[in-house]
Amino acid sequence: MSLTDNYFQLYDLPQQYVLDENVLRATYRDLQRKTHPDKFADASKQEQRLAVQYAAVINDAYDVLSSPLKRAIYMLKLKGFELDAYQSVPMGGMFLMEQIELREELEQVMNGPDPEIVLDKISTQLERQLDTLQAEFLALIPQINGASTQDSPQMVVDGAIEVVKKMQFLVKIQAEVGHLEHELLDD
Amino acid sequence: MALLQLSEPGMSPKPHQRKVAVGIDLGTTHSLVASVRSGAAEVIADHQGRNLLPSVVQYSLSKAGAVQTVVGYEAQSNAINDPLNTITSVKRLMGRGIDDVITFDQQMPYRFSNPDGVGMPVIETVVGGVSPVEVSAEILKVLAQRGREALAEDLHGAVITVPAYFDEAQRQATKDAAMLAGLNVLRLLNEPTAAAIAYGLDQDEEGLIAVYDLGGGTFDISILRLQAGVFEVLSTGGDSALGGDDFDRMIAEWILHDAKCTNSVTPELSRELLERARYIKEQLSVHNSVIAEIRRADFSWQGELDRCWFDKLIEPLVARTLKVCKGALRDAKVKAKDLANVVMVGGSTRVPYVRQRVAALFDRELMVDINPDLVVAAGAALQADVLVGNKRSDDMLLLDVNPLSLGIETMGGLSEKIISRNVTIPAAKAQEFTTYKDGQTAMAIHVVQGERELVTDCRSLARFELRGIPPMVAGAARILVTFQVDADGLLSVSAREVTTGIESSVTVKPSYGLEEDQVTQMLRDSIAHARDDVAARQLREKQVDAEGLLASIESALAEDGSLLLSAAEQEEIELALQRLREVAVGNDEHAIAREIDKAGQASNEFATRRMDASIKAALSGKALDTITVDKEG
Repeated sequence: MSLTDNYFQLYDLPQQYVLDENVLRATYRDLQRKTHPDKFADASKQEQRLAVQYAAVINDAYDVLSSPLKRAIYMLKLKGFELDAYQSVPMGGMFLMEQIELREELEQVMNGPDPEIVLDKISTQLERQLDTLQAEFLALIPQINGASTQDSPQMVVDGAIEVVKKMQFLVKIQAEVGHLEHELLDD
Repeated sequence: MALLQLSEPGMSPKPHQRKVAVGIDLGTTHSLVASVRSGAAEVIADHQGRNLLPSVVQYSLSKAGAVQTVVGYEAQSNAINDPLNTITSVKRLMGRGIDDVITFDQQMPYRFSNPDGVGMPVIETVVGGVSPVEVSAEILKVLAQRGREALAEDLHGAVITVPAYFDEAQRQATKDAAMLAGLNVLRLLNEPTAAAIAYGLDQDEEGLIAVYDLGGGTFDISILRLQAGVFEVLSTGGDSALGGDDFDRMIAEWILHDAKCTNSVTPELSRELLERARYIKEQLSVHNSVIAEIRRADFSWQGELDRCWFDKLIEPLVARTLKVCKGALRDAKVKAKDLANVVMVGGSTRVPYVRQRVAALFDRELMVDINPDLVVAAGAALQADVLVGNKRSDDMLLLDVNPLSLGIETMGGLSEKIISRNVTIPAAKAQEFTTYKDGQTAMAIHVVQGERELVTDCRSLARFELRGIPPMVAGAARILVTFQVDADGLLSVSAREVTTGIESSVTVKPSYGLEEDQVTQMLRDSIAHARDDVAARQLREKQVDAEGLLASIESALAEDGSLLLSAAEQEEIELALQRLREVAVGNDEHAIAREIDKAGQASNEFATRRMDASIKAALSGKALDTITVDKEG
């Protein structure tokens, strides 16, 4: 175990998309109990410095592994596919049309009669769509890992990237819904 | 005095094994010091039995021209007669720039100046300019002395509390003040988290709690999850310029208006108005109405005020806190009904209207049984006790968060977020930069704090200058800059060119705080003032550092040396330790510093392997000595 390990290795977890949140959480606490700077408050400067570095990596790993979107991006990165290098992969016309409609609905929502109900509906819809995308990503993993398929390797990667970009898109809209919900609370 | 010490069989008393540490609540209106004695946190009172120390410092000159300071109740009672030299609520000025201070100028009767034009403003007094850091240090010195006397021992260290919503500059200023007061800062602890520790340990509470902390000058809300000794902050929010002082100011302004006063307000009158205002506020917290008056040569007023009037007056301020509470709940992804408890902290939560509105927001009865003045210091003392190793540290773990996003200025004056708010600290992020000119060897990075898009809407923290970049053609250098926020919430920056591995040197130009050598200079000045021998003290400090390092590496070697190191590696470390031992008994401060560095370098790999091994042990649940380790790394 060391800081140069990937986050799955660091947490002693199998490198797979589905993971047990309770195990992840328990491991996070065990690791923090060993590395948190509070455990080294009376140690040498050198050990204190190391503790800050280790605890920061363990925190970031938890942040990445506990988020389905960040976990997906990270898994692709471990395979050598950095999301930034695939900006040109299209998301598909259907998806974009749906998203434009959703955005328009969001813009109108505050002027409508029952903003709370509409926002609730959109939230549920987004969660369902995200669940579907996560399932799609999961299904693509064997092919990314090299399982034989009719598709070319390029197509497999593009497919996975497309799914992740869609997730990213929906997570952004989720945040916007959150903002609007917050605004409603203030009235 | 204990003449006879009883001990259980097999447990010989080791009087000096226990290290003395204190928790300090450095508040806007008053401060406290607490310590853990016989297992429980206790606030340490002064000789008159008073727990609180008013955070007020009065400066004067003796007949011989020496600087004199008076801190606490005595200074407070002199405030009206000597407003310009008696500094109150200095916490509101910590880590602030001259622009912020000018807006405070209307509210505070001081004369500010800004000798360098940049950095920290100073308050002009009869003894000359004093910075907010120096004023705070005076308060800390009194508290530290109180601790030393009560515990009859030198302090090993202190945990000092800060508002959770304090930004980097405000935290750094607080730490500088503690250094100046000669304190070893074990940790800066967020006030609501401190309250949660004291409350959580006392009540043995588990689950989600909210801590609503409204003090004299600052407001914080933190949502925490308490579980099996882990205090995990899920979100925090606040306003570091909103508190009971603002209630007082609104009352004072109302009185001025009511008296139809058109004269200019002298500093003396301003201070008296604020004193009266505080009296009215406190009376209205226990009575339904109050009669108050001010009789001076330049001003006269009398009135009867009731609670309803007061509630209406402070409504906008209370509403601001409620909005922040809603945001914190949302950030924590928690609904009000999921909370097990809402803990009220800070003197201003005694105001009935505050309680009423907070209870309505969270739709429950509030936890108001604990003394809102003392709980923060008590929590800090408990944390200090754990940090110096008096308590088994496995029992308690604090996971706090970064309160405000850190970003860097990019093209077009935009802020690009590097470390977001509410992420658990310590946190680190690396970002790659390149050069835009051939042979460029330096670059500057402007770090800002805040949530807004435009740099001008955020708070400027510091400019980091990287030097020593190896000269290359434009765009060829790849400079990896690592931003790190430590457990105190303080930022540090390091940089390395990736292809050559060359480290850049990083100098910090804080936008509002003191530069490192300024702190050192102040320390020198203050020591010189005390007619202490600067050189002797610095030598002693280095020797203590050396002893600490020797002890820690020696015990590490004894524990894991043969397990984690080859014989040659062990020998190399032993050799470095031997050299350090030799110089540590001498008088050459620089030689000691040099050998400390060398011993640190020699044992760096060992320390890393120990950390890795302990992680491995945590994962497999095995004891360390049953794990096989690859000694070649």
